Amino acid sequence: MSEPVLRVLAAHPPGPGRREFLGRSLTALAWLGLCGCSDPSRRSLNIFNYSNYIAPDTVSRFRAQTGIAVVYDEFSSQDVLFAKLKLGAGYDLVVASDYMLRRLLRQQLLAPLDDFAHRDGMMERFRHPPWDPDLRFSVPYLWGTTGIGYNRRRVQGIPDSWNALWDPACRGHITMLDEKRDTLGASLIRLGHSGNSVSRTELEAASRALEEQKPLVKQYTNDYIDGLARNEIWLALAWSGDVARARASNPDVDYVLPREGSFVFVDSWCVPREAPHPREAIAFLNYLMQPEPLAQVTNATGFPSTLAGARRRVRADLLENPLGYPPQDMLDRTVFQADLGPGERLWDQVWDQLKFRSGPDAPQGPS
Amino acid sequence: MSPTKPAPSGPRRIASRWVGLLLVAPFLLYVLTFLILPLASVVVLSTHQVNDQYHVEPAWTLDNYRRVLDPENLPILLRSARYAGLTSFFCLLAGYPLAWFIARHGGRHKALLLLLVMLPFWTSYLVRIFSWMTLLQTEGLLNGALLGLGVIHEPLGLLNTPFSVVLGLTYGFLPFATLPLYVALERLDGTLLEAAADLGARPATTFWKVVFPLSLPGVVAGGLLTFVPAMGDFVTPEILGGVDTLMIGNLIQQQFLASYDWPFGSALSLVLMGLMLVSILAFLKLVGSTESLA
Amino acid sequence: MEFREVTRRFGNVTAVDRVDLEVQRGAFFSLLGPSGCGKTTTLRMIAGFDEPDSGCIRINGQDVTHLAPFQRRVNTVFQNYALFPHMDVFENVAFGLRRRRLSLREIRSKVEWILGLVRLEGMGRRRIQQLSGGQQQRVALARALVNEPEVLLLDEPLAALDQKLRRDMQFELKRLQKELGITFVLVTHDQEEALTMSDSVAVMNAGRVEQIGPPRDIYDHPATRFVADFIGIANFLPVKVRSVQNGRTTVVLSDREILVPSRKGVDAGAQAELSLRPERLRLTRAAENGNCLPGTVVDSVFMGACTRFSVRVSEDHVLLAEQQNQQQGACVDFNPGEPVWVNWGPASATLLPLVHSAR
Repeated sequence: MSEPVLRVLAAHPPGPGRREFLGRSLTALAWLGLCGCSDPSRRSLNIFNYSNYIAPDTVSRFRAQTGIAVVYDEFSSQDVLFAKLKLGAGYDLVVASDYMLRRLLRQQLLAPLDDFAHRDGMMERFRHPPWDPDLRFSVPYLWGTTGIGYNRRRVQGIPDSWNALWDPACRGHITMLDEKRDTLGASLIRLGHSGNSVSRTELEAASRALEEQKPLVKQYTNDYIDGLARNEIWLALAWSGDVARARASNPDVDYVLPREGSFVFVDSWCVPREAPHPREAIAFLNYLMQPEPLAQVTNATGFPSTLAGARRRVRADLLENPLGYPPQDMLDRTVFQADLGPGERLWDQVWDQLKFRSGPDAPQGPS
Repeated sequence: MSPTKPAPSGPRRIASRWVGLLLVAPFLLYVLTFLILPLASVVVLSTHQVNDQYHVEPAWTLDNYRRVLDPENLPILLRSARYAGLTSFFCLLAGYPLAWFIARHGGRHKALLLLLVMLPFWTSYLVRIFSWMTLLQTEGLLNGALLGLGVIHEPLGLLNTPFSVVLGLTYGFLPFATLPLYVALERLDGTLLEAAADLGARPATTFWKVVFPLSLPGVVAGGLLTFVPAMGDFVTPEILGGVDTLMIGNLIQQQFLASYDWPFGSALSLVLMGLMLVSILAFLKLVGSTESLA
Repeated sequence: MEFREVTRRFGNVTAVDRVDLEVQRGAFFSLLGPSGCGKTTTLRMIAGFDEPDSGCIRINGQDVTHLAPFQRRVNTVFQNYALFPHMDVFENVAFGLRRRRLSLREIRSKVEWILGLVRLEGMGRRRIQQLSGGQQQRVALARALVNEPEVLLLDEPLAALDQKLRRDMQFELKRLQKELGITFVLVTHDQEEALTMSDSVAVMNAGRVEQIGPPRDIYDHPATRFVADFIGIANFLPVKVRSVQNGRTTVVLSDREILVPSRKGVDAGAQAELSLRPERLRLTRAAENGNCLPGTVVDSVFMGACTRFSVRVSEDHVLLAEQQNQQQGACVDFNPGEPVWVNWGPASATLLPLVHSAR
């Protein structure tokens, strides 16, 4: 019996009268009820992750093994993650993309992960990322590239240039990502600029190019796997793992990294500073970041993981490049999405402008 | 003549006043907590600004409102008004015959028919919108049927267009138009229709000269009840819409969840609210003058 | 306007059963009967709101049986007036005229004329809600009449009015009808209304027409027991026919012989009924020659112009007799329990065939 209850009972020594007994029992019950919330024997964990970014049974297996109840929530865009974290939504464990991770670190929104045990299993490439050299605050999880997912039957040839996304022959069947870093970035690279540019003129040029593209575009969406698989979408600015999944349902779907260059990303687990259950978060990471569970994740999501030992257990078709594990020369064409500092707000403005204030209804004139 | 009883004086009268206050108190508390306070916080927030570090600073400025009224925001506002207006129009167009049928030919089954109209409301809004996706896709049911019948030879690009957005909105808000129309039409005196025919009016004339004018309060109510929520909708354009079909609701959502510019989003919301209030008041004035007719 | 064998059924109920009617042009015709007798259904079929299941309706020789209401030159004054609430008086009255696309000047002059006729001059711009019941009724009348229809139908038009107003409106309607010369067909359950205003009355019961004729005929010579009973007050006495001779029939009532005018279909040896109007009965202390019956006064009721006596003439029958209070030679101071003789002239009684089946 917990301490508070004992204290309550001690303060009121057993005495006469049924009414007093009832009153005391109710008080005791109330205390018990309140204690249940922070009762350490009932452990729980709140996870916030990208959609389609875990294996179907990872969470249930974790619960079976540890008895920790998991509340699993999903988001489809990094901006939503940031907004929720600023709100203080009570998550214990989130997955942040590299540039977002840098923003979170700068804003000191993360807690250190001292009890995480598997740092040494990381692939060398991800062991000391510049933004978190000792992996004190983050655990790299899955990584991939941004490229073009396409339907071999509907598209002529191999669309190995960003220009392919501007192809009028595919009008109405092109999608771009609802993620400003990827979409604006791709447009920047296509124009020969850096994908991490913070120059206003370059950004506006990229934005204009996207405006010109708009009549050809079906939607800005991060939810294109189904569309690709169902021949609804023929060209998509896409993430490698997602395209792998689409291909599993529809062999006509393929992926290419444009020759002008693109982005590589790594998404890491991190724990918000005000997480209510940090210990359970670490327990989850210690469970997940091992070869077997991670291989399951890769098999399910199509994205390669950062653990060296996991590669052995991954499905053969996923090991094909560039979908699964792209070769070095291809990776050399990619860059990480950099921390833009004050340039972030500029990107926000340009993106806002593009999404909401351009298009056929917009007033003609200087943008 | 017996003297009248004097009104309760002193403590009794004060007591009854307190009782009155006490009974109203829960409601006042509710309004304060869920209406006044949130509204006040939004107003306050709209005067702040967000800096490069994504922190909200109490700048006490009206700059956000200036940004809202910037002409470059006009297109999305007009587009939203256009979509919402079309939604209202189509809802009334589709709802009127439906309401007429139930009101005048429903007979014993009126309650059941009304229930059927309301039934889709008990399913998730999201699910209903997604089902439209399935219907309108390139390889969806509608295209499949039309291709199969030979009506078209290439699938129609119906999804991710203004058409699909307005369709989704109309579908979602149809009951909001049908019910007020039903109420207005149900009250209509049947002998008026006979009188009109008796005086030489053909059915179409009877409709335009007698039925429609008398159902005007219902039309106005139905129009308002569809326009206002459609104006603020963001789910339908997000799922069924394309690149240039986003509405002002999406812009506001973007501020709060993506751009992290809460002050600007607050200012947008308040301006939208103001516009809605003005149009509602204008409509109510109109209804006030038509109600005296019916 | 004529009906030929018009029948209308609603499910199992026959509302109008093989009805034949003939209404002269320019006549004031009434359909009279109790609720549910089919008179309203008949009216609706003339207007076109209902179609007969069989039979034919003609107006001015034209077969209108299957024409829609807006195709007939018939206008209706509804029981609840059915004025258009969103239009003012002028627009209501002009409604029919506008449908016929008359010029604005014509419309204005006609509306003014009809409003004058119904004594509502200058009220053109009033809203319907501002009018009294009587005024609304006159607007309804004007709205129908302004179109100068071939037949004007009135569905219990005076039902909602109070006594005085009703009297006034009866007079008005009669006057209007005479002035305009339009055929009026009125539906009512109020026999006084029908008798005072009409040139011809059709008494209906359970979907059938029991009798058509001028009010006087209906009253003095009812064709059936129903008509006799429905119109005015009638006393009924069962009699047995002894003989028929020269237009006179001898019947036996309580062992007394009585002479009554003959009635077609009622022959010697038949059982029949005698119908007597209270005001035709004369009460005397001594028997007079002619038709008379002995009886005992049960009670009397003073009714202003006359006194109504209840006189028991046999174990089963009590007669009502009305005596004018101020008439010369009339005796009105009979007290209950007094013996008295009930007398009537030979032409005052009506012989009715016995009703066999319950209707």
